Amino acid sequence: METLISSYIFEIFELVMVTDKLPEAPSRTSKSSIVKVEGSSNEGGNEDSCFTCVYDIVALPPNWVVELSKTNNLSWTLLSLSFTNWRTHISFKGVHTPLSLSLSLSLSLSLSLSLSLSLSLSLSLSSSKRTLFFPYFASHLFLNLFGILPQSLSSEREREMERMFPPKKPSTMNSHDRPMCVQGDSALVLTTDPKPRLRWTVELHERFVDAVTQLGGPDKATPKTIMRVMGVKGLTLYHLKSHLQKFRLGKQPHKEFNDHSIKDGMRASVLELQRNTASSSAMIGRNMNEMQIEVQRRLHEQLEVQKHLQLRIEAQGKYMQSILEKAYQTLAGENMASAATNLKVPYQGIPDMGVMKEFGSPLGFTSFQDLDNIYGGDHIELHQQNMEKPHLDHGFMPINESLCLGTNKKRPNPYSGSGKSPLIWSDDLRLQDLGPASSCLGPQDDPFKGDHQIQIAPSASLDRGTSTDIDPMSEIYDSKPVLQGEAVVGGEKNKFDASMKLERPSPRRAPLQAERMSPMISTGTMAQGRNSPFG
Amino acid sequence: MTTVFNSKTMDIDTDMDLDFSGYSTITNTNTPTSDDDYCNWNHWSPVVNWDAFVGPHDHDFHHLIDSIMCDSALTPDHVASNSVSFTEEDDAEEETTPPAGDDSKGLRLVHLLMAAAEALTGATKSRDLARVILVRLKELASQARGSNMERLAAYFTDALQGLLEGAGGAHNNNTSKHNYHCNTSGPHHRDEHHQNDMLAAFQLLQDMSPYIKFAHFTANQAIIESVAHERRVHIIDYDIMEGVQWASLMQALASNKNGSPGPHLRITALSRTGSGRRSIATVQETGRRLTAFAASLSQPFSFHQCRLDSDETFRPSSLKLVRGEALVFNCMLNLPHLSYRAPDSVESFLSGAKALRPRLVTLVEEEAGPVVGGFVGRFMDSLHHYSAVFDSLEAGFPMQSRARALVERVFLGPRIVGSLARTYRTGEEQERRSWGEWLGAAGFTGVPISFANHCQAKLLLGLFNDGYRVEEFGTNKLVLDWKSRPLLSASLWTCSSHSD
Repeated sequence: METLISSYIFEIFELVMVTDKLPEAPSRTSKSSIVKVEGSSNEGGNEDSCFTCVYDIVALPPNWVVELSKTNNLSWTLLSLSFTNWRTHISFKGVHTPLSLSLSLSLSLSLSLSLSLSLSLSLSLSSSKRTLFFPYFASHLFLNLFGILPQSLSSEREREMERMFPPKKPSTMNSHDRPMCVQGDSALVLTTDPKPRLRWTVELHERFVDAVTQLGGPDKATPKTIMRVMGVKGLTLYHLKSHLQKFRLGKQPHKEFNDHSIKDGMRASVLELQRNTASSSAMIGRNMNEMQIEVQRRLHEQLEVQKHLQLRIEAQGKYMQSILEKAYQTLAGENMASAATNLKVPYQGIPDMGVMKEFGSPLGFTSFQDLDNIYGGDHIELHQQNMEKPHLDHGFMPINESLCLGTNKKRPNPYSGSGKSPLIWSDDLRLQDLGPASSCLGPQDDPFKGDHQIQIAPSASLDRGTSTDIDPMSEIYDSKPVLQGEAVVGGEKNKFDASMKLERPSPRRAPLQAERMSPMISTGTMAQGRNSPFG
Repeated sequence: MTTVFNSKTMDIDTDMDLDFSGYSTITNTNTPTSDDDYCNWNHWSPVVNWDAFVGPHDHDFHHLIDSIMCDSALTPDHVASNSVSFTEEDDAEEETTPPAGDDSKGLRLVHLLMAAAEALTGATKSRDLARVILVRLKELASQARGSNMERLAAYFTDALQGLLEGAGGAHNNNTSKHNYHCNTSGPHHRDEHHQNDMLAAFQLLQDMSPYIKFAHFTANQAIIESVAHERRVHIIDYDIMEGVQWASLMQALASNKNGSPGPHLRITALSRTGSGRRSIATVQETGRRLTAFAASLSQPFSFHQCRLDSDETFRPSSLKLVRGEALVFNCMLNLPHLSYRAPDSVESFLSGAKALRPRLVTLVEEEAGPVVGGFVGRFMDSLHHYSAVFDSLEAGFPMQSRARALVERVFLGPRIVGSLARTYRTGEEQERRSWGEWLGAAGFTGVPISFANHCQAKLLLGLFNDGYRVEEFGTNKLVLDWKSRPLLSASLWTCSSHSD
């Protein structure tokens, strides 16, 4: 149980302050329904009215209660924060000055296992935010407490770890990281330092991760059991303890919570978090463990849900992409049909689906039957082919042109034809997909220029957040890391690259990017610079 | 509001309007370079900035219009059913006066719409008055431009116009649609263009708003939970469309256990006779696509079709069932991209579900407010509902007016027209009841929404605008709100043997 508190209680924690301008119906206060005002004692409305708020927040189990006491119009004192069913386990005490509203809170937590940790956090709200407290009966002060905590902790941890286990000690290690002392088949690397220092090599870390998963996840695993499972000599509890802590912290994707939970009015609120080493004693709740377990369970569940959600969105997006690809393909087939008739090429029959498929495939869209081959296929080569396709200038004619080329060939070999592009599922295909769909209508004048960043923002930040670890989809689709796209695409598509960096750093984006280019190139809209804002 | 004198003069106008409308399609095809066509196209293709082509590039524009004219004639645009003269008038007016998007105009539009709806029904039924008001509304509102309220008003005006004409018997709004859907003899690609528009709009809708993902993911999560330990899962999908819902389910099933393949998934899609997006061919195509996707995840999967009767009645006996599989009925109704389903058809599906005792019935339907006051009351509720939808789309894509216009034109406009026409036709006697209530009354029991599911919905909405909320109603229903207006609900039901 010597886990850090932060691994128990983290994620969003939103603290909401409610002024005394509460309307009669409490439900109306929930401008955002996240917050529910449970009731107000002292509704006499004098300066000392207290309100109790119940949080029903995604990240935290419900039933958190905070008591605020209003000392004057601008200042609030946080009396206590507690769990409804288990009173006063955590308590905040705060005072703050009227205008700056800096609230210094000290969180005293005591575990029954004599671990105590005191957190002092100070929250300051600039005076310009004063307006928040007046015009609205409820203003929300989002204290993204535990969303921030693990990050700062983990960065601190990081440093600590580095101090403890220097990544590389040239004096004691030779150039190629050959360990001074290797234990059996393990990848354990010990330095010659009298104090046992350990370098967590990739292999060692993998073994560690294996052990942790074998034990049922980072929250169930304890250093002792990990040590047993790993069975690496020389590895001490001490090493494992810190590594496990780091691992637990590192596993938590917090970022997107920060991005999403800080609402408009809250941007100005500055959050600072300091960890005090001074321990303080507080009341030890009997139910503390129970609560922690509950909190932990919920949080764990939430993280799972989040991870799954991300994967599901991706899957849905990829599937959607396949539909659209197919549609363009058919569309292209049609255009060719019309071109064929224009050119008085004898052409029999109404272009049914099958025919279109035949004609469509040389255009750069994969026919669906080839999907299986393409999943995990060799992307690089195909992309090169894509990029070598001539860049055509105008939206309408070139389609026909390239299609006519297509007719001259028979159906090309799927992987050697001109510009047969792999179908890569994309999870965030956006407006740009409209482009090919309607590009047949004529030149595009880039009506969306400048707006695009806004659109992709949500998914981008989600991507950033949850790109942590296991990603079965990526395993499936990333049989080869393809960095080709980025290299090829460079040049005028700067924005493209920039936005890509915003998103997950996985190389998976690269083929996507290249893929994204190809329909545009093939429809020749590049000359108008249409693709740049769509990255 | 309108003087008698006014009404007389306007009357003449509208008569002319009606006369013209008979020829409207012909005019469209024969004079492709008219302003009217320009107007249509302007809001037809949201990506193309047609404004850039007026003036110096005029000849280019004409050339392009020529080349794509055949499509324009067949867009299911209700403007086409209206008069040429009026749209021109609108253009002229709109171009000279800057669009006033202030509240007073919105209010005025609402009042006018209400007045028109009142004029069409009830004791004070006066078609002439309605006609006059609609003329005025057309002047004020345009589908292509203006604020949300103006565009919304334009769609409602069209819907009312349809009612007016339908009631007169002179014009049937269905004729254009009929033409559109039954043009099998004509070139095939016209339909395809529209199909692509649909897809693009569908994609946009998914990106702009959480409606579809909320529905799909909530249902899927419930399915995953309910079949957690099953080896075989059989889903009967009422309206599979492109099958987008199942990609995420397959992903979840395939990655559920470490390494081991997920349960065998079987999906039976109901297919309808007829053409368009729900024809048998489309369903087959969906099946192929789903199979390919499942193969990519190495998820055991098989796909079946079950044809509905000609009147879209579902017969449980036509299903092929395998002993020992967990049966799930999935019923997505009234999502923005889905087309309308007759209550009888839905009822046959759900009662069929009861007979087969499924493990789970997932139901997603539109939420409607409590309706008072007959047609006008429903009209106002509908207006309220769609204004919430429009607002939510605007908030999702604040600057993409063209993208929104596409979604509005492809999905919402026809839906408004259809729903008002049905409300008008069915009259006031038929009490509208949610299918959730129906299921409850039919002896289904609710399946509680899990914490994970609720949490997932919240997280999902977190990716969109702040205005969206998810609320739990009872234990088995999640409602998606836009600014306290319930729009969509997902509920879970079961009728397994022990619950009898």
